[in-house]
Amino acid sequence: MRNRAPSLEALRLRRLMAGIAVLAVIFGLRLVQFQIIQAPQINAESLARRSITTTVPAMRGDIVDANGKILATTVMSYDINVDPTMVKPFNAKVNGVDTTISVDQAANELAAILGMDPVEVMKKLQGTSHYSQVAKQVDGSTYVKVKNLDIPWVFPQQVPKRIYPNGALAGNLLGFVGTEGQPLEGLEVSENKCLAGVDGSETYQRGVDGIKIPGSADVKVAPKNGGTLKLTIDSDLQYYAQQVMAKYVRNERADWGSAIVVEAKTGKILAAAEAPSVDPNNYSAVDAGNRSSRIFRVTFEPGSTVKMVTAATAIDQGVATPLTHVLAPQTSYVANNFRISDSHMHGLEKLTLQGILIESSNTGIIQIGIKSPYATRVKYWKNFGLGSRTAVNFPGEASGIIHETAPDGASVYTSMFGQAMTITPMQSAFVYQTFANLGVRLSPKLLDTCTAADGTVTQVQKAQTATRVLKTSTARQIISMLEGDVAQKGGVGSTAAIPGYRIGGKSGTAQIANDNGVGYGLLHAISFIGMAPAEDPQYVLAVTIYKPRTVSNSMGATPPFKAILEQVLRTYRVPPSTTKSPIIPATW
Amino acid sequence: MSAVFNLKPTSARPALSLVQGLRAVTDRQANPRLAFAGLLTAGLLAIAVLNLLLNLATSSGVYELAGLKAQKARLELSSQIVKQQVDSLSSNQNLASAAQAMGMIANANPVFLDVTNKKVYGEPAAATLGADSRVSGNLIANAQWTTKSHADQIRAALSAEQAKATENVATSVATDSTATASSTKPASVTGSWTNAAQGYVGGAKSSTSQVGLAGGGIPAAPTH
Repeated sequence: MRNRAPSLEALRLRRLMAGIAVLAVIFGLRLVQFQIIQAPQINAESLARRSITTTVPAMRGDIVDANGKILATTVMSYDINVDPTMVKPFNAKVNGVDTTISVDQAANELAAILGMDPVEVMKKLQGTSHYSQVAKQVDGSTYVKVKNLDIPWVFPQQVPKRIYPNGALAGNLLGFVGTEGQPLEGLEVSENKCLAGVDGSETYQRGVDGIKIPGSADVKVAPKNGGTLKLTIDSDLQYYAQQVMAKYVRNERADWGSAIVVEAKTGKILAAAEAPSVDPNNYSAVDAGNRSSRIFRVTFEPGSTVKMVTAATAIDQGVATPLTHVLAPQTSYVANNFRISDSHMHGLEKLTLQGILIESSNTGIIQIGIKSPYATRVKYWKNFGLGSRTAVNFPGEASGIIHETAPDGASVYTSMFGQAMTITPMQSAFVYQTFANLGVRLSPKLLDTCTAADGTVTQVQKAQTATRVLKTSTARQIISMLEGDVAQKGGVGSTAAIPGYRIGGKSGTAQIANDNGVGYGLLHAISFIGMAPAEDPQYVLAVTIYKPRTVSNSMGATPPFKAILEQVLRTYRVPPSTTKSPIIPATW
Repeated sequence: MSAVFNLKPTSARPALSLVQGLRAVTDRQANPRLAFAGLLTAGLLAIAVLNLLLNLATSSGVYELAGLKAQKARLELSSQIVKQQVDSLSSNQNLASAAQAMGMIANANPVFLDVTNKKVYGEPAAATLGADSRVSGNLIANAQWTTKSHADQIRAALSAEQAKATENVATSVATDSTATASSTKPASVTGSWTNAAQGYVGGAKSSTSQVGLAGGGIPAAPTH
């Protein structure tokens, strides 16, 4: 049977079978190639054609004041983009009737909504590119109006936008971000770690109609929104202080002014007002010099407000009391005939230390200051926080300059009344916080907490430090003398008095060194720093006005000091004092 | 394939013989096969129809989802627009300007009442428009202050409310001397609120102003 030749029929059948088998093998191999060898590549190519990945932008976190009022937030805004190659007349329903809208008409309507010149809009509609931006970051209501025009070649795109609902309120502290959302200035820069979010993405497969293909995989990477930064600032008080400073800087035609309100017993900064201030919504509207915080960045020779430091050092060292007697002449000569004079003309005066401070006598204070060695005074300056940056670590913060050893014989003396050293407005406020807190200097606190998107709360600043600078008894004597400065007639301080309250404070009228470093100019930096209520100081206020042109002494600083301090007392419901300020004799 | 394999042994068989009862066997098996094929076809058809229905349901669900997402986006947008208006109205610039336009000034002589000790701290004095105590109009720039309270509208609403309240009191006194204060008050309060709201809408030009004024303009309404 096996030897028999196969029949013709069987032979054909076998050939057919062989053919089919070969084809099957070929198909099989091809299948293996597609399904196994090239599969990942083909899948990827196919997915790429169907799938679309969109960025889900993370929202930058809010900045809020001590009461949770929003100072900076992020909203969705819309870029109005056009594909110029598609620009042509189109049909739209106007009052239910199909109407052809010409390009000119559409451009005019767009221009009216966007507040632009129709010619400018028209220009942006022309060209061969597929992309032209007509307007950037318009708000939601404008977007709705644009969308209602139903122009088929307008493609609005969602972009997050940083807004500051209270404008220039605390603008110098907050800083601002650029148009792409990048932090450029202030706390927006230094606290970016808390505020910045991480963008997410969404990938899905869509059909020709742009709708997701049913059942197709949808890969989402959730965006991580930024955290909420809480400041210690009270925005109402901040607004009031800024208003007052803006008014006085304008009236006195000064370069700038600042007012800092500190809670004496906690070191919290309740207001840090500056004029001119920057509206972070529109930061390019002001000069570059006005966009940052001078309170932390500018240093100047403080002048007479430092006399309290000299007095405190002497009292703390036990070499003077508020009643120490001196004979203060109009002019003294020190260290190789360097002339030191008082600002007002007077004969030889019999002053106590209290009297020296009320009169703000330079010739008087040097007789008290010289009782402490220079090195001891340097030690006190450092303890008062002079010469080093504060714990706020504000971007670009200055440290100020104090000299470890006196640069020349005269500066040993001039530093007793605030020359030959530079400090920032913030440092000056915390010198007086030290007095108000009975000798203990607290590190300034401006940044409270950062609440992450998941609710985790972290303290932004490092743990607060408390430095014992003066004995409690010394601080009490200093406060009494500050009260005397305001309560007793004769000095500038008396113009800062608020009826019903015990106020303590000290004026400063500092000369400003010329830019070339030689000598002093005609304009001054005037200041008044004080506290209330003096019987148990709760609030410290430091007002500085730089280069006023209509007043030349610190009389220009007491009206804003008084106005802001009154508001502080109202805001925090401080009842009027029930006792009177002690009277320490000013003369003998 | 089974046909091909069956051919081989058939051709190798030495002789052919009649198989009895073959027809009967074929008859017996033919009917169940037909039934099975029918069942199979019906099953496949049912699956296909079910699949089609499921597909339809899924795709319409997807379109519904897309629609709902679009609606969500629209609602989020309008909520954002309203929120920005509220932010603008509650900005310090707006509140201070509205207060000033209505003639409010801060009193530099606060007086405190200590209820527990029955004491008065401070000496009461009327607030005065002193040059030093008064801060002029808003000096703090705000580019986001886009929705503003209109002082004249607030004043109009307040005076309308006051007039209504006076009228209500007068009416109740005249017509019903036995009416208690409690029965009068709610009526006047309701009236004044409505009045205030109407006053704003009437004077407002755009929908944005209406939203703002309803929130910003009625702080003093419930008390007279």
